[in-house]
Amino acid sequence: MSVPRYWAERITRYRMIGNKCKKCGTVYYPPKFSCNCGSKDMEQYQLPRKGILINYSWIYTAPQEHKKNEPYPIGIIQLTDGTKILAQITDVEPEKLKIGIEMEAVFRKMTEDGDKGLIQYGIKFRPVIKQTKNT
Amino acid sequence: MGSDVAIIGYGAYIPMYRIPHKEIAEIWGRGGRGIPPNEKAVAGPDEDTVTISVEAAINALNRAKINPQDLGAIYVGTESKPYAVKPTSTIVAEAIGATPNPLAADFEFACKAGTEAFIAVLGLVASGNIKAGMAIGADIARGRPSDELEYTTGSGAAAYILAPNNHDAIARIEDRYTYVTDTPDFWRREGQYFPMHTYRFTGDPAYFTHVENAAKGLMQKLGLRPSDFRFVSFHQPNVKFPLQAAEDLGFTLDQIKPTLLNPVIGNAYAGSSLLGLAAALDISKPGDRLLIVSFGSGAGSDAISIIVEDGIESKRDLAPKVIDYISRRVQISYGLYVRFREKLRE
Amino acid sequence: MNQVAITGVGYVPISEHWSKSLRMLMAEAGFLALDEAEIDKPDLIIVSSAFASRLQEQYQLGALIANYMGLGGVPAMSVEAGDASGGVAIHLGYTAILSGIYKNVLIIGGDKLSDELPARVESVMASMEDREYITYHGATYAGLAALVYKEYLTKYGVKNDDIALLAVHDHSMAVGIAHAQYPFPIKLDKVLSSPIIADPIRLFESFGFGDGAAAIVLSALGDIKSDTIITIESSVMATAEQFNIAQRDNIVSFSSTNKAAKQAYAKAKITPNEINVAEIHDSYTILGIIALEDLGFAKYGEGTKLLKEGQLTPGGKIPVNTFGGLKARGHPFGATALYQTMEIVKQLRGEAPHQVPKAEYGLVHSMAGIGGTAVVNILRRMK
Repeated sequence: MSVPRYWAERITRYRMIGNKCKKCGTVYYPPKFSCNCGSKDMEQYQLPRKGILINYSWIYTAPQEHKKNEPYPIGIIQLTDGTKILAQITDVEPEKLKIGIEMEAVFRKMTEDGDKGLIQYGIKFRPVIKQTKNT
Repeated sequence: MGSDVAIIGYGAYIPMYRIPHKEIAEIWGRGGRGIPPNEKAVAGPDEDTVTISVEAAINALNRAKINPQDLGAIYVGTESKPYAVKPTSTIVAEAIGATPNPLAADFEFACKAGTEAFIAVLGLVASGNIKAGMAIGADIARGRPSDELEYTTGSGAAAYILAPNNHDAIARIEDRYTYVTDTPDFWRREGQYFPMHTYRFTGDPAYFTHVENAAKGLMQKLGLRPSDFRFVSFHQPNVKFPLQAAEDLGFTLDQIKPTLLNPVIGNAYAGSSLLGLAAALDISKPGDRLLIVSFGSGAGSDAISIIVEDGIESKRDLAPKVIDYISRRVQISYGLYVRFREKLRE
Repeated sequence: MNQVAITGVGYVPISEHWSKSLRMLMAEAGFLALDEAEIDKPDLIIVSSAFASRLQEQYQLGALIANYMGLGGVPAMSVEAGDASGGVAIHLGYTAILSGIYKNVLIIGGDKLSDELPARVESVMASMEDREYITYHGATYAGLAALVYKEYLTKYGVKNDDIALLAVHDHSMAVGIAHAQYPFPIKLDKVLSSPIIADPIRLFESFGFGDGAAAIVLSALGDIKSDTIITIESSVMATAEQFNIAQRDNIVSFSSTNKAAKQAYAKAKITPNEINVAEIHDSYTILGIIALEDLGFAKYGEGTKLLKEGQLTPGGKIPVNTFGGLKARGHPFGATALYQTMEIVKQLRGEAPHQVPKAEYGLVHSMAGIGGTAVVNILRRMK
């Protein structure tokens, strides 16, 4: 993957930063230049990192750059603010993957350009880790 | 020394997969003879030292409740960084939103790189050079197939945010003591993927000499005894060494048990003792004194004394605890282990 | 006012053409169409290819093909819109004629998927969707269609089997078709036991990778001397309201097809009921079922009803994919809409092996990926 092209998207990808139309409030991830409502008045928007899994599919015929991880699931997650995002799902056993489970964003390796090239990182989603509360 | 510097946030990360030692032994035809009865944590195929550092860092930030922009330094101690040249810490900094301000560098001192990073940040904070800084110890350890080390090369990361002591602090740093020599018990040459070790030489001349001198040195300096500490976290290359060191120094089993993670996660190298400390913080009370003694091959030990503050009560639950990561467990076979960790090399 | 007639068609069989390059296949199809139209030299050449820039690493395909065919000097362009490349190319040819500037337009579509290894082709295909934010996550064309499939099953309570039946239909229609990639019937249980490529989509619910080229000649009406005239009554193109599938409120209907169809019917002054035969874009069975609904042939959620009732056969209410569709005739991406058009033309001319009696209106539906772009062309037999 082209280094400059990868670098230009890194903040959006690493930190899940989309944008929001100031006029009608629609949130876009990835960000759009201008809104479907016609307004060009957009502001940066931090997406929440948790949501519910609303759809998923296991991919068995992966493209070249993802072949190592075949098979893997991709899914659509509805985040806590209502925004929906497509992402790869990780850290889950097939039997545990169900529509409706709570998911959280994690920073993971996406692809790499062989042994000598750059490693590409991004956000995947995994089932939330159950936290025990002490106090 | 700065008791004016405190830990204001800490975070752990342990990958989900586990491989029992029995699995490894059977593959290499060692079934039934002297196999450790435990397991270790294996990082998944989409994980590396960068990704585990990021998760530990985010957990630390969630407990610290500070703006990532306030971090003046992000130092990562590791011996398994994906790029020999290109810092893990810049990727972590970008991923957590700390750029463009912080100092960022990767530290190497085998398994003590994490505490080296910790003390470097401590110095920057104590001198007033930065407002707050993060030190991470993280490794996805590499075991040569069929080598005994393969049983214990585990994975994990722990991140600590240090800042001047305040009402919100989780624990203040009391003091530290370092013991370093040129002792080549374990190394990895440039360009090599798997390390070399020296079997029994890694014991007395390496681990025990440095760990025990650092611990004794610190206790002497502060006029303390083992009983003054509630928990102690030693570097854990296996189960025997830390238990032996504890016994030699006069610590009890109760003091070390909560921090002894090796039976479950293996040796997390630069993350090892720092993860043990996180496990201790997860269950400590304000006023508890904790000791961490790291060990890095090459060789050296940092002993750091920490006193838990009131802030731990409200901050402890703001991120997953070590036990939460340990409970998240999926057992894999040796074949999957080889695939995940790409041990079939061309 | 000018009208647009289809005066010639040409095509090659769809298969793995190991010894023939893309330009050879395109030239062959192109000349067959020109010969039928009795034209030596078109005024404009539009070349349609989805993947030539990646699989054959070839740009400026229009000029290259024109030159290769000895037609250097003729204006030529290359069009890319994923699997809708052909539909868009035809739409452009249609507008070119209506502009009055060009009288005879040659449109050639072609793609050679066998030129690259399958995993690389998957990567190239996935790049029809957002490379940075959809493909980046490892989503494939099949994977995205699978999300649509799952949602459809949940939303309408339809069974997997009923969707998969479309593959059986396509294959039954490919029997006796010389240019089809897989001209043999297939049973439902064979479809349902084929390997999963992206759950729940099975291998035999998907098009196969193949090579093909097909061409048509469009001419301004008034210049034609022939018994049967086939015209393009309307040609409408639309893009998706939301390109990113995750941002869509409803993923089991494609706004691009829906919008293009509504406007195409309006411009042709007909309703879906007056369509006698149609070619729908069923790269995956689920997309075909949804096409039936978006094109107005069935109510939403009831596409499989039409199929199960046998209404898609030549004797049924809305004969569809009568030469095998994308599954059995084949789907060489940039060429597909050209094959679809040629097949409708044959139906309207009364020359189809699975003839729909007295076919007057035909519809060609061309769509890209999971609905990013769609073109609906309505053809009519005059005289």
